[in-house]
Amino acid sequence: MYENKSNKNLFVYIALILISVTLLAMSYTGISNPLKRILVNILIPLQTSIYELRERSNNNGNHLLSSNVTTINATLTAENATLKSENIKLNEALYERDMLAQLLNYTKLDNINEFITANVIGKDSSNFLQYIIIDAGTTTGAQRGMPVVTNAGLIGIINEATPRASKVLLINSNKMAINVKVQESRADGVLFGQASKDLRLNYVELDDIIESGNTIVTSGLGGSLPANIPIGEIASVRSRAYDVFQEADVIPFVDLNKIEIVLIITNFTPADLAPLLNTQSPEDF
Amino acid sequence: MKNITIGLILLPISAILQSSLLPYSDWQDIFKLDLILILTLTWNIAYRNNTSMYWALIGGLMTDTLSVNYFGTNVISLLFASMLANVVNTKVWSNHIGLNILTSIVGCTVYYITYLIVLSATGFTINWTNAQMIFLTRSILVNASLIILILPIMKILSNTIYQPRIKI
Repeated sequence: MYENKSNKNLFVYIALILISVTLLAMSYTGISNPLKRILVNILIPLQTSIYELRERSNNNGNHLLSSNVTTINATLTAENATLKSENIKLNEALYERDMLAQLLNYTKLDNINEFITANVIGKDSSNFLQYIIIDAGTTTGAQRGMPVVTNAGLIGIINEATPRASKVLLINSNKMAINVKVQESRADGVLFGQASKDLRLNYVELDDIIESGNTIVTSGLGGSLPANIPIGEIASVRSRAYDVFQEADVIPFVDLNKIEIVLIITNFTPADLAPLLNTQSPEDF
Repeated sequence: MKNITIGLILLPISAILQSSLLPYSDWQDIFKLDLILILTLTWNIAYRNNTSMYWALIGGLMTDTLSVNYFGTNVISLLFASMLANVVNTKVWSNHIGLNILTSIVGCTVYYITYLIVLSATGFTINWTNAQMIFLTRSILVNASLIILILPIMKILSNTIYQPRIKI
């Protein structure tokens, strides 16, 4: 009798572990995505309700007034972001004017960013991953790979988009690496997120001059993000003669722990470089 | 069946609270509560039947749905932690407070270590730095302490819905 019960327990354990391993394998290959989407579609309305309840309690019941303020705030945030983006572009234009004076017949097409506004309705349920969940999905125009910003600067990239919600990978995630440049010295580098949730600038050549207070913006290299989105400023620099590259700690312009409304840049499509990387070199012919 | 029904109600709500409310409280940065882990492990310690393992499956699915890690990551981690609790709670001396404390600490440790290993194996970068280890230790201790605190409530609940048969 006891042996039978032990065997039954063992069978349940093995069956459950097999189910979970199968789920993991299916998820890794993308087969279980429809199942995940169904569960997300069930949970997101509940999550949105909790978000609304939280917002109402934050506003002490003055819901009508707060609803107006929230709308005005969202509009102003969008306008502010556009102005900030234009400001960065003007700074870049100044630099480009000097460059154009030297390089005749050079033209560059420049687009002003277009935004949609989204509320942050949740954060990753794991304490080890830096993601947020926003209430804009594919039905409102959000797509995987689109950059997400606030009026202060870049906060991340959409990693996963369902019809009604999207998950955004934050810039301080240790899965993130962004091609950036230092606006003052034009030095290129790569910005990495850290497990400690800080940002570290790396791969800056020793000849380049970088110092505390310098502004870091996206460089556009790699095609995964548009150029000239502000990210943060350098807090400290580590430059040692025996190192190959300089390193710097960067403080983001956005407080990534307190994001409530975000803007998605919708008129940017990440470049797919894979076909170019597979192109044969002249020596192959 | 009652056991699974309670899990189906309690665990999705906890997953949403963990994702929507807890991150916005000032103390979450310090305490790092993991509601699903706390509930699943406590239930597995309190409920003297192996069907409590289904809580790990439900809780893991809910957490994985609201997370960007691969589907199944939390399910595997919670299953290993729950298996440990199940092995202990079938013993005669399972009500000893010392054993409960030990089970909750080891259970949380097993969960976090399995979770980080699966994350790492599925392509996420895990930096095994001192800061990460301090964070991990703090999470284990805080969550294990809460398990001990809510264990009496879960024991009362489990005794009302499940009374083991005794054959003489």
